[in-house]
Amino acid sequence: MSIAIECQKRPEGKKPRVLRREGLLPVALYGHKGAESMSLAVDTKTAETLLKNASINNTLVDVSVPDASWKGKALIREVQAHPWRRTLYHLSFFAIGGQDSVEVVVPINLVGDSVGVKNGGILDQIMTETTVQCAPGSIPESIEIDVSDMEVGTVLHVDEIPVPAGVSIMDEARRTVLSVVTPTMPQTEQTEEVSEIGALLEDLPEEDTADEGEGEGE
Amino acid sequence: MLSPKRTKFRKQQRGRMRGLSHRGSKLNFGDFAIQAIEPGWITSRQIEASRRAMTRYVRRGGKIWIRIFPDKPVTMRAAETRMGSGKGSPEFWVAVVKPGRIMFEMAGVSEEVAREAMRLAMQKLPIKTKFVTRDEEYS
Repeated sequence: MSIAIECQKRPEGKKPRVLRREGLLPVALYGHKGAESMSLAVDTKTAETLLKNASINNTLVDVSVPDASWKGKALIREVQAHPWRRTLYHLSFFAIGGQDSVEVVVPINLVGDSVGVKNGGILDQIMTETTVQCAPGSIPESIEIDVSDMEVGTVLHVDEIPVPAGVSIMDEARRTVLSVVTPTMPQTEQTEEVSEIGALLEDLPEEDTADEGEGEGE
Repeated sequence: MLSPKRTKFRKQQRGRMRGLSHRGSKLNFGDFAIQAIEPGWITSRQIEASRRAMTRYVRRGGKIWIRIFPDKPVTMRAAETRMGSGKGSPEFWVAVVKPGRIMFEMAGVSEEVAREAMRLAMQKLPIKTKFVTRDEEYS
C-alpha cells in the first residue's frame, strides 16, 4: 500500500504560527537536491491521517509538490509535536531518490513464547527499535526475533539479531536488546519502614549541627 | 526514599516553572507511562508512595522505571520563628516537573493492569497527570 501526501509551497514571509492557525502545518523537505531544502506546508488533518498510517523513519511516502513540480519518495525524518497534547508542530521529509543507502529506524518484533517466561521469568525488552542501513528499495518493515529458546538469565545482544541480506544494523554491537530476568519480590513493608527510620536517625545529628552553625553566622 | 548522595550547595532558591518539558517527554523504556500535564514539585515521599502503589498492585510481574529524581532541597523555617535570621534548614527533596514530563514507566504487564496500577500511583501525586502508551497517536 502506498501512502501519498500533497504539499504546497509555503508562502514567503508567512510565520509558522500563522500557518498553524489557518489549519496548515509547516513542512520541510530535504535530500532531493544536495544540501538544498524546500519549505512547504500541508493540511494538518492530512498530516494527522498520514501519521496514523506511516511510521517515522521507516515508511516510504509519495510526496508531491505541484507548486514546484516535484514528486518523489521520502521518509518522515522528524515529527515535532506538543509534549502532551500531541498536536503537531512540524514535519520533516527526507527524499531518498538520490540516495544509495538510507538509515532508517525499524521496530523489533518478538516472535514466540520464551521458555524462561513460562518458567516464571520476565522478558525485559530494552530495545524496541533499531537503526539499520539498507538500500531505499529494501527497507524491512520490522526485524523479527524468535525468543522461544530464551531461558531465564539469557541475554540477546545487537550482533546476535538475525537481519535480512543487504541490511546492516548501525547500533553498537554489544548493546543489549532483551533479556529474560528473574522477577524480584517487592520488599516487605516492615523492612522498608525500619530502613527509613534508620536513615532518618543517621541524618538527624548532621543537619542539626549544620543549622546551628549557620544561624550563628547570621 | 530518593535523595542525592552529596550536593555542592545545601540550599537552593525556589525558581520558576515556566514552559514545557520537551526533554524527557517520550517513552523510552517501558510500554506505559504517567505523564505530567501540570508543573509542580514532586517530593521524594510522593515518588516513593507512587512507586509502592504500583509495585503493590502489579505484585510480581512487570518492571517499573522512575524517570524523575528529587535533587532540589526545600527549606522550611522552624515554627513560631520571627522573620529574619536567615534561610531555614533543608527539610525535604523535590523533583521539579514541567508539563509533558514522563514520570514513571512500566513494562511487562497488560494494559489493564498497568492502567489500574498507574491510576493508584497518580492519586499519590500533587499534579494532574495522564496515562500514556507507546502507540499514542498524534491529534
